[in-house]
Amino acid sequence: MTSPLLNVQNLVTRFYSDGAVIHAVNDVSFSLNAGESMAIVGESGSGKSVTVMSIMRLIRHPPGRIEGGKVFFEGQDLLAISEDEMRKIRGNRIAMIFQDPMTSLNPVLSIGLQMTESIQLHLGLSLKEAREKAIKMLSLVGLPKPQERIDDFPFQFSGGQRQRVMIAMALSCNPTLLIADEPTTALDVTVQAQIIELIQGLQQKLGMAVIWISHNLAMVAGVVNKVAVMYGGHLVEQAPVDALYEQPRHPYTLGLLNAIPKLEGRAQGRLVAIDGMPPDLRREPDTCPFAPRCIYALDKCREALPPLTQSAPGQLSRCWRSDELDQIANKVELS
Amino acid sequence: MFNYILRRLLVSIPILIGITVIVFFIASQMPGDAVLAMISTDTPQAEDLVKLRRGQLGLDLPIYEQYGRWVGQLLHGNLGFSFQSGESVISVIAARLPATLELMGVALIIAIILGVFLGVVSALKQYSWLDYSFTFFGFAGISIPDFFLGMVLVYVFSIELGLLPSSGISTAGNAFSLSDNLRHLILPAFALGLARTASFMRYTRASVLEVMNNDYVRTARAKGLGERLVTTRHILRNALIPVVTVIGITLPTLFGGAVIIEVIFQWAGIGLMFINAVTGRDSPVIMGYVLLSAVIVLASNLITDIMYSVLDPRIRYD
Repeated sequence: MTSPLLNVQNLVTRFYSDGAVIHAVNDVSFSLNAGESMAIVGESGSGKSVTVMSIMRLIRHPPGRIEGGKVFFEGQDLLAISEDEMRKIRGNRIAMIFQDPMTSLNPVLSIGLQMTESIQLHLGLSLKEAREKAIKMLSLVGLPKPQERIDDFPFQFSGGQRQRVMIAMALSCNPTLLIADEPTTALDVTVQAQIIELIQGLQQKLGMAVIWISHNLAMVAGVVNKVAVMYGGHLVEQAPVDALYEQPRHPYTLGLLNAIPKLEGRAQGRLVAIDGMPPDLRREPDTCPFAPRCIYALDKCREALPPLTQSAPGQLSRCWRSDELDQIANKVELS
Repeated sequence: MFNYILRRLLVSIPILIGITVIVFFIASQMPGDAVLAMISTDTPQAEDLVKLRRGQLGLDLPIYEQYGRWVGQLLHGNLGFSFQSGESVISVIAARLPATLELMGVALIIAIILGVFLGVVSALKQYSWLDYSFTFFGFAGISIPDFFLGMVLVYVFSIELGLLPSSGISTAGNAFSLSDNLRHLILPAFALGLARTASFMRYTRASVLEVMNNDYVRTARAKGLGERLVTTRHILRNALIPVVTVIGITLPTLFGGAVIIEVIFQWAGIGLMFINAVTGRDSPVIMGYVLLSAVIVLASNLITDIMYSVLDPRIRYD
């Protein structure tokens, strides 16, 4: 078996603010093979964005700091290399697209300049060659008349077009890993589907691996091979997408699945919300983060953090009761 | 763009007229007049002399008629003649303006270069001792009046250290030389420039701090750009847009501030001319100065808008 493209081991990122320690990412591990796609799913503040920003080493210090773990990418530990070497990887081998295309592009620079600056930097092309490459990328992402539009400014594009520009920009140096941080959240629903299809299509064409960050479990279901669920800075479950849907092994995942609207199924057709508040990330990460909201929680859950254990082939879960979850869940539902 | 500038210029005309009307009538309400400023009333023939001179200068006419005469001259491109010296106001201004522009220009350049540079450093090193000391000097600079700073500079650099001349445009009696002139310029230019340096620094700092947290700066870093390029191309380019507005607003205050600085340093510019004209109730010269400063205010607003559209494409294309 070949080594994975990306292998994150025991990543720990904390933020320090006003004397408090915010445990944003606690002991997160996962791996991703070349060409594969995975999703990191979780609510706001679950640590999914901080995880990928840590992989890119884009955590601003202060207040944040990557305090532990290893991030092997193409065999190299990204947390051990110099900033100069890291810069050669950013935007080149690993590229990223962001949530809000309205604010992620510099409003006063033409998109041509914003694209060519990284193409020239990473591929060592002349300005003229870089422009040609940029035009090629813009037509690849389906932007009409790229030759005419390359000197336009971001405000002259619609939201969907801007996200296409962002994608063209990200892919222009042929990355082996694309990180898409909620790329459709800020877009109209009709445009969302187009953008997802576009990224999927380009993934097949260009063969890169993709990490999708999302809070929408339903959206990523048809897009990825495997899903990692994050809660309160912990990776609470990781599984192939089918297994996760068929038999979730963590109560939080179960709660997320129950919160997805369905056309058929449950008799009442009512959505089941997860009661309670998101966890306070200032607490020590030594007990189950979900315990206060979990209807299956035992005393043990409030005393010790369960380890991430394999509960089925390829399915990891961080829950003391992962093996009995399907039985107790049925029981609770019947009662 | 051209239409926009033309429209702005046309709008300026009624504004200019309004300003001259108001100032003309306010100036006429000052106690005393040009004749009383020149002729002592203690002499026996004074009354006749005053009457005669007032008649010559047109000061015995009703105020609206005096204004009408002044506007009539203005439309012929003539700003009138000084009551005191009899010279044409245009030539008085033309002789004095270069010195003022030199002082203002150098003060402004000091303020922009120093202010923007220190502001960027302050923001990039937020909450460091450097930031705190710049902030301290910034507030001091904004709070200390120009004239007081001018006197402190004179005391320290001229009287105590004897490094720089305390007044004048050049050394009296010597032939004019640029290096001599620049030596005389240093103290007044800093006295005028430092308060603006402080305010530009504070605005730049605030603006850079705001822009630094924008998503597109993160995008620039995610593309693998180095910090220098991220700062100059992505942060500064955006952060300077509001600073340009502040610089534009500052231009007129620089013109006004120059008056006081010119008096303190006996810098023979427009400001010194204006103060002499006010004490002499020399209304043609006063009006000439007012007209000029009104034009400068309007012009700097226009320049600010043009600069704005150069920096921000969202405005350029509207």
